[in-house]
Parts: sequence; structure tokens; C-alpha cells
Amino acid sequence: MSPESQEFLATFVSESYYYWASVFMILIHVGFLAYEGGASRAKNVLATMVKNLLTLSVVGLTFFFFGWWVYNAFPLFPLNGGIVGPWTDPASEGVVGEVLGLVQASYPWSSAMGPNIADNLTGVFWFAFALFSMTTASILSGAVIERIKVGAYAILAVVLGSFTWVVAAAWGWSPYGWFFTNFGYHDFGCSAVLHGVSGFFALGVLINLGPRIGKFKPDGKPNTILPHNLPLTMVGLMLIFVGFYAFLAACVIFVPGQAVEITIYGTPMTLASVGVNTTLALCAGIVGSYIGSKADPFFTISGGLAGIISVGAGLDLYSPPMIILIAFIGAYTMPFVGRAVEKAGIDDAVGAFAVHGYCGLLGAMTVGIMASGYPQGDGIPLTGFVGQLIGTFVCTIILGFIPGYGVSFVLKKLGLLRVTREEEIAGLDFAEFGLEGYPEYPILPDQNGHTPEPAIAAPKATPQM
Amino acid sequence: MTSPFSTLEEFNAAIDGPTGGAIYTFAHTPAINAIALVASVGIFVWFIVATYASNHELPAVDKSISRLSSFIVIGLLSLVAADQLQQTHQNRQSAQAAPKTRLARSSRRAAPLALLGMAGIGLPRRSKSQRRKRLYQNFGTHKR
Repeated sequence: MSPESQEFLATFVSESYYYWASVFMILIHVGFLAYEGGASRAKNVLATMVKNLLTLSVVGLTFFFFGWWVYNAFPLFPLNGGIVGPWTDPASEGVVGEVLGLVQASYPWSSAMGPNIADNLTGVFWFAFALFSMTTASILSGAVIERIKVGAYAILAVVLGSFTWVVAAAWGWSPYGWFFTNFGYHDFGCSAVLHGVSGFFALGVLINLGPRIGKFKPDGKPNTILPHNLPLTMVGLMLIFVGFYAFLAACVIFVPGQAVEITIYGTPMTLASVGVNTTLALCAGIVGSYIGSKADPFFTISGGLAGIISVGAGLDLYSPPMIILIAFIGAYTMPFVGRAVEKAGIDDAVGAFAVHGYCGLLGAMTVGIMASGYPQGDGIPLTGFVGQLIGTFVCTIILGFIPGYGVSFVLKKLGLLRVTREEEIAGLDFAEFGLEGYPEYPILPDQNGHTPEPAIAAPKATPQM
Repeated sequence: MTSPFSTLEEFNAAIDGPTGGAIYTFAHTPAINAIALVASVGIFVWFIVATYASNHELPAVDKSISRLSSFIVIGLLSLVAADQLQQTHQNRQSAQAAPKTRLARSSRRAAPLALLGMAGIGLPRRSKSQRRKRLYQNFGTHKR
């Protein structure tokens, strides 16, 4: 084999690895579609699933328009430099020069984004990151089902999926990010960078959105609104698990010229450890939430995800027994957080805050205790509690809760956040599409958050070709 | 410190170091990982025990049987009482040579008592099915 062929083979291995990992990541979205569709009531199943489908479009397009540039342009801002863009001196040297090279390849008009035989990797990295972004926005979509306007959800999904989480990734999941370079922050599986941001963003939105009609009794005690199809919800989560293996595999960095697999922080790791630790976290998480929730099926299946997220930040560093303990603790305590949120009068339809927000925070902070003292590079602080605390606080509060609350507050004041009471009672399938998800079966909503009210008039059917 | 390495050079050259390539937490102090493993096994045993302890509490069988029995006894007593009343009435009527129509009317008067007893036999079954229905309706509610 000629040296050129060997060099191309290395490129092709890398290109193929990220390509197929990203393809498998789409299973996360298949899973979210089934999970949220099953978790909704029968009168909202189509609207819930269509909203989920739209996440791919709105985030995919906006991530191409500006999200990929944000990831590459923001790592130095504000502590180590400015935002890098077309205004940056093309002759810049040092770190700014290195970042500028990546930024120039990330513009939507960049030649690196199209078919280009001189660059096989920029596009495939964009593909992987776009899937990360869609996943982040999908976490919000489950929390707000059955009462949010589609337009409001689309705006919030763009803010979360193509901006705030991307800024968090630029700062905390990049070799140039100031969380890492200045504080030694380590978050291999994006516990706080992705899950913490989205979980807390969802919490901020839920405060303004309010609960579903019928969720709380007049005295404030919660009613349980049951999933219309719990088996579909469970299958959905199983698909999310499959996608998560791909997601975590895509967090491994392997590009031509490397002699070892590394994390985004440049530290050595193995893909095999991702397989072992993810599996153990999944198993221990299910066990933890089964015990913690006293065998509640909804919490039990979510426990697998809670376990993985609780160990995600240190998945590359923890020993397997530590993985079991940490995942168990995270998933065991998750149902208590979910119930506390409900007692506070917040209607989180799928427990997104408990699973992603709480476990994301826990996962990132645990690295500061259970994986402290790891060296990550010359001049980079060791992993530790303070570095994790700063990064986690910025992710969850500054980039998660505040933007979620702020944007949803503005939408609420403009009357653009929530559907009308009549539409909500009639069901979003009927209100938005004039259709029912199960037209051949009677829907019996009695005792499941049903409020007897006169139905609204059906929208005029669009003539079909 | 949980890290087995103090410098990046040691970390990158772990394969030649004392851990033989292991880069995970506490690789330099295996006893801690052994303790964590024992704790993990303990959690697993706890889980197995919990699977037996986390079932829904169904109504106690002996209670429903005693309730059912008391209804049956009350029902039988009602029947006996009705029969006794009827016999007493018959004896009195035969002694007084009363018309047949009055006998039939007195028999109807005793029937509600017997019916109460018969209804009592059915009551526990109905109440049990309602309880079960309620259980299905509240599936998961009492857990949250």
C-alpha cells in the first residue's frame, strides 16, 4: 500500500467513524419521538410527535446557519479573547490564529462545508455536532408537551439547540474553551454542558409555561396524568439508550496522525471503556431508580438515562465499580427530585429536569470529587472541585435557567407561549391538524387530567391532492 | 487525589508506568476499588430484595373472607328467620283456618329479609371489583 493510500485510509477511518456514530445518534430522536408520543395523552399524540420531528429541522438548519460558527468562535470569549469571526485579523497568530482556521471552515458559505476532496472531516464533525444539538433541544420538547405553541417551541429550540448549549460546548467541551484552559474543567460526556444546560433551560421555560390543565387539584395537590402508551414510552427510551452509546462514542477524538484515542481535552482514553462504563451505568441506573421510585415504571426506565448522565462527565476516568456507585446514587435520588419539582407546582411532563438537569449537575460535580487531580495539559489546572463548580454553575444557571426563563417570559408576555384553554382541552391533534391520532378508536380520557369543557370547532380541512 | 498520575507525561505514558496502562480512578490504590465493588454487590442484593418488597398492597384475603362469611351467615339467619316466621304464621293460620291469600301475603312480607341476606352474598364481590378498578385507575398515582 502506498503512503498516500495509508494516509487516505486513516482519514477514511476517522470520517467513517464519526459518520456512522452520527447516523446511530439519530436513534436518540427516534427514541424521543416514541417516548414523548407515548407519554402524551391520546388527544395530543400527533402534535407531540410532529413537534419532535420539527426539532430536527429547526435545529439542523439554524445549526448550519450560525450554530457551528458559534462553537468555533466562542471558546476564547470572554476571558481569553474576543469572539472570532470575519472581523478578526486574518494574519492572527498563536491560539487566535488556530481558532480562526476552524472558524473560517465553519461559516455556512465555507468551501469546507460542501463536497471538497481536500477536507473530509469538517463536514462529518458538523454532522455529529448537529445531532448533539438536536438532542439538546429534544430534551426540552418532552417537558413542555401538550400545551406549548409550536412556534414558541421552535424559537426556544433554536435558542437552546443552536446557541446556549453551543456556547457551553465552546467553553467547556473544546480544547480552547476557557472552562478547560483556565479552570481544568472536565466533562467528557457533556453532563453539564449538554444535559445540565437543557434540563435547567427546561425548568425556566416550565415556570412561565405553567402546568397542563387538570395536572393540579384546586388545593395544589398533583394529579397523575398517565402516558397514553407506556410501552411505547419504554421502547422509546430503549432506543435512546442505543443512541447514547453512539453519542458517547462520538465524544472520543480520533483523527489521522494520532497514536492513541483521546478526549476533547487531549487526555488518553479508550473506546472500550465507553462500552463497559456506559453499560454498567445503564444497569445501575435502572436498579437505582427502581428502588428509589418503589418500582414506578416511568421513573424506572428513565433511571437508565439518569445513570449514564450521572457518570457522563467522568466516563473516561472512572473505574467500573465507581461507575456503578455513582450511577446508582444519581438514579436513586432522581425520583425524589422529580417529585419535589411536582410538589413545587411545576408540571414537567417527562421528568426532564430531574433526569437531565439534576443528573447533569450531579455528574459534572462528581468529577470534582471522584476524579480529582487528573493532569490535562501544560499550564492547565488539574481536575478539581472548583473548576467543576465554575463550569457547572455557568452551564446550568447562566446558559440554562436564565435564557430559558427569559425567552419564555418574553413569549408569554407577547401571548405566544401557550395554546388557548379550549385548544388544550380539545387536544392539540384536533386543534392543530383537525385530526385524531387514533381515529378508529374511542378515546376515554376520564380520570386522566380530563376537564369536561365544550370542544372547539375543527379547523377547515385542507383539500388533499 | 483519585488520579494515579501527577503529571501529563505520566498520564500519557501510563502503559509503561506502575499501573500497567490502567488510567482509571484509584488505579494506584486497588483496595478502594475493591471496596466499591463490594458495595456494588451489596446494592445488587438490595435490588433483589426490593423486587419482593415493592408490590402493590392488595386487600388482605382473610379480611374479605371474614366479611363474606358474615354476610353469608347473616343471609342464612335471615332465611331461617323467614322460614320460622312463615311456619309460625302457618301454624297460627291453620289453627284459625285463615284464607290462603293471607298466607301468601305474609310470605312476601318475610322475603325482604331473605333477599337482604342474598344480596349480602353478592356485596363483597362487587366491592372487591370496585376496589380493583380503583387500583387500576390510580396505577402509579400513589407512588408519585
